[in-house]
Amino acid sequence: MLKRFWMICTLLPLAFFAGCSGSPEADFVQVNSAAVEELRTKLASSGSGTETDQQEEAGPSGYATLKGRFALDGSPPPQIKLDISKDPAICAPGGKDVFANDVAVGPNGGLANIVIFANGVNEDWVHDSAKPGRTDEVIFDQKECVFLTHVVGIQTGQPMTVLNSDPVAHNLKVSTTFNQTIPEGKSVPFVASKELNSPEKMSCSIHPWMTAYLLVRNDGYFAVTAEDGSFEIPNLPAGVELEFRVWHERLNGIKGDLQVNGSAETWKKGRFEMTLEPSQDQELNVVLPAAMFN
Amino acid sequence: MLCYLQPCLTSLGESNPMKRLRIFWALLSMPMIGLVTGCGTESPDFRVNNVYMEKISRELDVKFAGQRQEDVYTALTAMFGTPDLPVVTGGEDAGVSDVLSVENLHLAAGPVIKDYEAGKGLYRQHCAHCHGVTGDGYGPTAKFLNPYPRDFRMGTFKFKSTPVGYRPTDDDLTRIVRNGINGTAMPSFKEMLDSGQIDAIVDYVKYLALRGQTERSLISLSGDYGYETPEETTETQAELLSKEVLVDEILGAIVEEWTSASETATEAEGRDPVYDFSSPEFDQSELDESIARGQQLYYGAGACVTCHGPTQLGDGQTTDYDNWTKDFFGEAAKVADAELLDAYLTAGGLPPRNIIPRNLRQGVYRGGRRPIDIYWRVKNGIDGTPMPAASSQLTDDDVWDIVNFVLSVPYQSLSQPADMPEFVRDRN
Amino acid sequence: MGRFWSLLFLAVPVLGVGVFAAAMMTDSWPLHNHWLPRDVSEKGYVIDNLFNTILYLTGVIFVGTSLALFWFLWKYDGEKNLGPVRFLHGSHTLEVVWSIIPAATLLFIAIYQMNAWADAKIDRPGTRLAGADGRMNTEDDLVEFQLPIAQVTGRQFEWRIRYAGRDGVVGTSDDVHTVNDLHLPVDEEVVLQIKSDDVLHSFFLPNCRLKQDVVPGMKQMVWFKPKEVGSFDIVCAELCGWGHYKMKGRMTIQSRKDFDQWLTDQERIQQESSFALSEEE
Repeated sequence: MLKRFWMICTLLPLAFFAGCSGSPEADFVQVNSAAVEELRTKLASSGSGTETDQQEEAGPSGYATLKGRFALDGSPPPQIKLDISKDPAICAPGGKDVFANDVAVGPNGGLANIVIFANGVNEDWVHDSAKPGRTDEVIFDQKECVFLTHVVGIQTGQPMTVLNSDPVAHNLKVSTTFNQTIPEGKSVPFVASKELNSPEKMSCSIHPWMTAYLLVRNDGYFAVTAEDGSFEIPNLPAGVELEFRVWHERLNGIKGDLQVNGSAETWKKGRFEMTLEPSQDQELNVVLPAAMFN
Repeated sequence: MLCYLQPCLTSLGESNPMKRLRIFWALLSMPMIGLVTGCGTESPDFRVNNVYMEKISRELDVKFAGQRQEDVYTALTAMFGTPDLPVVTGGEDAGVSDVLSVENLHLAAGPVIKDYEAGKGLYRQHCAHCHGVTGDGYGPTAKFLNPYPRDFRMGTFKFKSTPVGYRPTDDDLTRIVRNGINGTAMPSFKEMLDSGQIDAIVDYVKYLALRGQTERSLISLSGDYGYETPEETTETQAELLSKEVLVDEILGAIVEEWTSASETATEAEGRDPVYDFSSPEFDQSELDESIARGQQLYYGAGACVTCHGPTQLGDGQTTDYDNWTKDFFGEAAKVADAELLDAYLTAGGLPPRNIIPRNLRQGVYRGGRRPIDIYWRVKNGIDGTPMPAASSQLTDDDVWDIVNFVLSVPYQSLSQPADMPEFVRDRN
Repeated sequence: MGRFWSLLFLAVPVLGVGVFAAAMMTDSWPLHNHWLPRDVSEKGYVIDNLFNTILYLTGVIFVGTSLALFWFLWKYDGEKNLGPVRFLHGSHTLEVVWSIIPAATLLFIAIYQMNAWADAKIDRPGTRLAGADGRMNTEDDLVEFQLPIAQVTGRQFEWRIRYAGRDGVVGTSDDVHTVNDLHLPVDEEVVLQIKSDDVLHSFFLPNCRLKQDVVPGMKQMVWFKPKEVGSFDIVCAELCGWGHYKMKGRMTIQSRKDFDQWLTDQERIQQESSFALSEEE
């Protein structure tokens, strides 16, 4: 009898408190209320907050071109086969296998579809050729349910024509900002208004395996590597430190140990700093170890 | 409770009465202590966005713990307060008064007050059990609902008059709160709340959206900063926790999206009155022709058939996910990645579900059944979902033909057998 | 102590009757709105009469039993009755009496309520037509039932209402849809079709003395004749889930003219197809 009593004594409160276990601890963060108050006072104060002495940075001493090549050291990673769940007659004619091609390795290990761009370049330093307001049209086409340009870079306001060369309808969904149907054989215009800090995914909701990426920049200091891994960004401001960001579809920001111009380097968060010499082409040849893609 | 105690008290019948009393009180006090200190009394707090932190930490290779996480939430608490005491610090500079009224927030926020003092704690009384105190769509009942309740933190809303990528207008949000969303668990609050209270709820939803969007911006921005050495930490805090970054850069941009929402609503000239049976100009044969054209577009240039299916049953493309899910996974196919899925669920995401195109034969229109509502759905697409906008090559007349077709589908013979007998009681 | 307990038992009928009487007669705090709500249905009094009859019947029996209980407790208090206990071994007459009286009472209630039940649940309004024999009021008369003015669908947690529209038939493309907002014409027999989309609900119009469970998969008809204009509650009287309290609707009873105007307005709102941005203020 006594045994049962103690059992009930322990079980009762246990059962009672079990009801309380709501969300796990990690769902909440304890913040220091004094720090909150202090910050709140700072934010509520009029004026533009902390007056930091904006030192007038020295402008560029000229312009230079950054060019080079991204290559893979080792054997390319296995390709991912896509599941063609709709319109197989058009998207996979003859029942052929379709691959994601997210790691596109060209001749001599050249890595295509890598995005490199200069981030946060002072607007006053931008060379005339790279200023916003480009009006030449970019054609973005799709055939056999594949976006023909896998990674496309445009400037804000630059017109892009989205073609559909397939006999089925597609739609173009750009992350969270655009989503429009493109009837078979037709085209729709697209203009981006907002700069992006990393490429945004473009997809087709009708054929969800279709993937491409879009980078939108205010200035023209960006490039997407070609099939052989080469790229060129002309007229970069020289003599000032620039931050470059490097992006690859499977890796997001390219980070880790790699070889730059023959010497070992480590990139963090997909970015590196560099100061260019004026009126001189600067080489940037990067070799990524194959292990990075696993 | 006492019934439980009965057997053990009688079982101790032989022992010392004093001891019996002590045990009685000990037993009684345990649940009482639980009652006083336990779940009921603690004031709820905003839940952190673990899913988004997990996403950013994977992208930028940083850890959201310790000082980095604390700084994000110190800033967020300083800017937006707590569920009991919402504020928008620095809001005047960011122009937040154009988006919401802080008095309204206090009407909607806080704990639920007794019935006869109704009109306080509205959000927690009527909304939080589905949408969560944080507005993250993770309230206690969320798991049991299909579709899941809306997570406000991306600032994305489905049924609205503005195009994809833009914020909803006040009228859009008010319409949803007033009329509910037919076909989902969102009920109508038209008779439950007066218009002032509905305004307060709408403002509070916008507040939660602003807070959620700010939280996301802060998290992704914080990932760019370093916390490795004490000097780096000090430098980061000086930069990140400054008025320029928090108010001017982050909040300002988000508030701007919301203030401009009302100007971005899609205007419509209205469909030809010959299609409107309540108009004197109504012409059935014109309507029939329009429906036939709409049907052509459904299978042709509108490409509706690809998702809504050849018989409008919504059985076309059913393997996709909505933006709230794809925000973490990036693409639909990655939901199958066990490691990623596990990380998502561990971080507190609801189990992903496919988004299914609407079955057009049911005559249930979530965003409203007025022709203008259907027009907005077709013309603009549905934000946050795979539903695209109609091609810009379609004219307004084309869109109205599609609208007329969609509105006619539930009354076709495929949906309603022609001679369904009316219900008659046999027992008479 | 002894007789204290019997007084406690006496308090039950006294307080019970007191609370009922106070609720019936006063309409002030704390008993405000605790008696029957205003009756605005033509046949509502039938239900009220039934309710009152049964209340008085059970009230008399309740008071009687309570007093008897008190009397026994008082009279046979252990402290005052020190003599030996006397046992009774059954009384045939008593058993017959206390079986026949309740049986007769139940039979009376069963017969008394028959018309009320038939009116509320069976005799759906309609027009009687002569059957095959060509004569009225014969066995084979047909009834052409009055069509429902609207369909009310309970779902978690709201009432979706669908008016028959111009053609008078629910389920066609000219139906007018509202939610939680039921308007009805006064002084006309109205028929509503009620159903449920998900779980058990109960369609309750307290002011019309109408309450009917709605069962998923069943279409049911309810009918009544409102006799007063005004605005009254629609509630759900079956716990249907965590949002049960949210199923609060409004029934507005108005003149035929106002009702038609309202329905036309709703129809126009539902046909809204244009939208213009408001002019810059």
